[in-house]
Amino acid sequence: MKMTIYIIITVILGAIVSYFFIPDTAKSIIENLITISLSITLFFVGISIGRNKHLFKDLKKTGLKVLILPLGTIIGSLIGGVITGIILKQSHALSLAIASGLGWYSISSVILLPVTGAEGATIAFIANVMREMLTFLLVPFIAKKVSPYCAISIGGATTMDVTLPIIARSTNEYYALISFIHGGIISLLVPFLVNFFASLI
Amino acid sequence: MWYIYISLCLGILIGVTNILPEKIVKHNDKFIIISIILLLFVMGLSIGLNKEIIRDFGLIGVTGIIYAVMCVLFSILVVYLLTSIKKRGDKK
Repeated sequence: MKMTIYIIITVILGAIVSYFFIPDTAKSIIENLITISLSITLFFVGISIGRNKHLFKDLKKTGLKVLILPLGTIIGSLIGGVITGIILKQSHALSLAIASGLGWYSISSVILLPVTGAEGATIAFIANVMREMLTFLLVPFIAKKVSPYCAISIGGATTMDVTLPIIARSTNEYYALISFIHGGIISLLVPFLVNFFASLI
Repeated sequence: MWYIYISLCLGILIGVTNILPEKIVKHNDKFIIISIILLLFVMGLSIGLNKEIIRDFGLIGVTGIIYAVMCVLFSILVVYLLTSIKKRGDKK
């Protein structure tokens, strides 16, 4: 719980600072800052993965089952998207296109912009940014109370980079590796999925 | 973006080979927390830069949030069901 509160405060603090004090022209600088701070974080996560000697043996034991997890994440996400679409009276194709972004907000909004115009692209952008944020907020709690696998599934495509540190921190090195594979497989599929569903709109 | 994977691999390499002195490496967990906080602050900065979206957040924003919450909920649910089926299978 303490971690979640720190996370909320830090993100909101950052958002307030940039909303009021940083000009739009600084966008590329901040993108570089994200890459730098993410590199630093993943460097330390790498050290903790590398120091664990049983890791690759454990992973070998898990074998191909590791592929089921991303599949479950994607199917769940698509179901959630369609149900939301029914409630909010949006088309199934648009809902599926938004849901299949799986947290990768830049790609889902860019693909949707020419198809749906600003409105659909903005919904996709916000939905997928929020998924990333929800991952930071929920992973510490879900990993502890439900299961590490469920915690990883929250992050969708982001579990190979942006949200990998928080998953590594909330679980252990073994699940960090599972998380990386999970995010990697989903990231490979997201462009195809979003394009496919966007073509049905 | 390739930098981030290079530093991850570099970290793994350092961890595997154990070339850093234990005195530094034992604080690794603290380094992870500090760098996550730094990362979150910078991510907050990048969110705050979407001034137009924040200014007229309204219905579109709420729609986006509902999609996010529902996708997350059902991802958790499906994975929960899959893993509990698997566990039951293992017991047999």
